[in-house]
Amino acid sequence: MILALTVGLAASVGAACRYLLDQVVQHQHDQTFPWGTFIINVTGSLLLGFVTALAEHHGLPKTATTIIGVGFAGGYTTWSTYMWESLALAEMGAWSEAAANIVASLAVGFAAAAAGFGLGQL
Amino acid sequence: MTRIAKSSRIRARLRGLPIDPDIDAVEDRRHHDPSVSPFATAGRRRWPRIDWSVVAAVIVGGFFGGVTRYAVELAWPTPTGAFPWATFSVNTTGAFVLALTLVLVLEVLPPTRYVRAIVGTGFCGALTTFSSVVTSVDQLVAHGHADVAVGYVVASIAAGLAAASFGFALGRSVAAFGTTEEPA
Repeated sequence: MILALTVGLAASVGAACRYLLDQVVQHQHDQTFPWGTFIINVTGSLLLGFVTALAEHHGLPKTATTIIGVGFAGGYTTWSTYMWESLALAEMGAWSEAAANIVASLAVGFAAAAAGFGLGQL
Repeated sequence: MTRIAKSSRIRARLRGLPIDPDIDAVEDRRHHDPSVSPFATAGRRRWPRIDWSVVAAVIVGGFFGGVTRYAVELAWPTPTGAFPWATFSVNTTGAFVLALTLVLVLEVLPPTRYVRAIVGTGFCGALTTFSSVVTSVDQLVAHGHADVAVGYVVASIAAGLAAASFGFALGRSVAAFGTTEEPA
């Protein structure tokens, strides 16, 4: 119960970080591409890969893994906005951006998670 | 609808609700005025004005989203090498709820500051997760379950887009119903 509440708190911190970072990133460019969500999802994947490796190879306690991985990284990264922004791009006729968002987020996300996992194994 | 009004609506969709409509209108004029180079940054506000009450609303929604996802993952654990149904379900559900919420907030409901922050950015954002999907896929591939990994990615994208489209359509049909009820 305490752990569930802590996971919720970590998720709320992650969500606030996502909101603030997205606001800042989206003010830095004029492109239609949703760079904010892209950067958030990639960095969150790096973090989760890193924490997963720490748990598997360096004995990071399960409680800490759950709070950081499930709570913070889960609250920080988002699938719903990723889907919605891809759909919104397609709806406004920006098909190439929509496809690029779907494919590039996944490709760079896989690489980031693998890089985080590799770092955590060191 | 004028071009500027339309593009400003699209910008609002991608960037967030115009928290301060006057500021956003000025920004939009600057962006779409052909006499101003799109690369001109002089006098442009580079940092967003943060409304901390909106951040607080995101935190409240994020707490419930995170707790809900954790509860679903606990109740529906994924055995090693199996399809992560719990994450797939929360992600698909969240994509639907977010699209429905955003259509209602941006096109149907009167201007509101906190609904999107609590339900969309906070709850749906924290309920769904991208990091878990890519990390699970990496792990599935590393442990020789590439078939499950590919199925998981394809199903997550397909179901997420379908759920979001359904949310869009449902929200729009509510909007259409509302406009036929009230004479213009």
